[in-house]
Amino acid sequence: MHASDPKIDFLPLQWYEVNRTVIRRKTEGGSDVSLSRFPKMPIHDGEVVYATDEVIVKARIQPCTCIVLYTDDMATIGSFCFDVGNRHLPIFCIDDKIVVSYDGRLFQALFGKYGEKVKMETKVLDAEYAIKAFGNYL
Amino acid sequence: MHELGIVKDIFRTLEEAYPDKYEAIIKINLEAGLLSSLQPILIQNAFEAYVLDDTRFKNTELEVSILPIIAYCKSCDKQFEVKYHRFVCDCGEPSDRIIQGEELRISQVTFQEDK
Repeated sequence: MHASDPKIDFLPLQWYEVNRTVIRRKTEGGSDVSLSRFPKMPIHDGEVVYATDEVIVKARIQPCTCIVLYTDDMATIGSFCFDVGNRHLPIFCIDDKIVVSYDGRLFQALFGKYGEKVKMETKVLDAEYAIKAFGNYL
Repeated sequence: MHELGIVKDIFRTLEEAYPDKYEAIIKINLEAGLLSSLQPILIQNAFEAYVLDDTRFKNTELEVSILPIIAYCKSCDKQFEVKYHRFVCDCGEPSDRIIQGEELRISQVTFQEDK
């Protein structure tokens, strides 16, 4: 690393904040950041949101609890995605598994229908892995 | 699914509470429990749609914080956090007595100082 290399800092974001137009908060390094954007594209994990010769600020999407469907049965995958999509929620495909953000009521409903095929894990929900049926949400 | 209605209710509530400085709001903090049935992505996107329409609030932020589920264990007489939807205390006793997690509330409102 050279003495003139810019310092790398990270802006913590929750997965559901990547479409925000206004973000004012501290970076992990304690610097104040104010973003004002008119997004057509969501912020991705690791994306540079601010850069000067002295500092580069990258987005860091925080891991969150997720509901993961474990099955290879296409009918079950289709039914699961229908149930989640019917609630207008974004669906992610990570490591060949269908993933959706956890909320208690959703988990109860999905576990009730799909049983042990539904697990909970901690994952980073990057919009890169969102399934875009209509180009909405992410 | 009713998130735009919730966003409109939030602004209506704030207008009633702060009629003189309502338009100076620059940040709204919202707390939503993991059992509130409110998905933060939907409320966040509904908010962005609302401020696109009502440009008085184009520089206003909505920050949604997720509240974990907290339950009460009668055996231990203490509260515990429900992780991975497991409503079981460290002592092994199951409990469905919810202390926190069903809330949806405005926790803080910030105004622009010079207005």
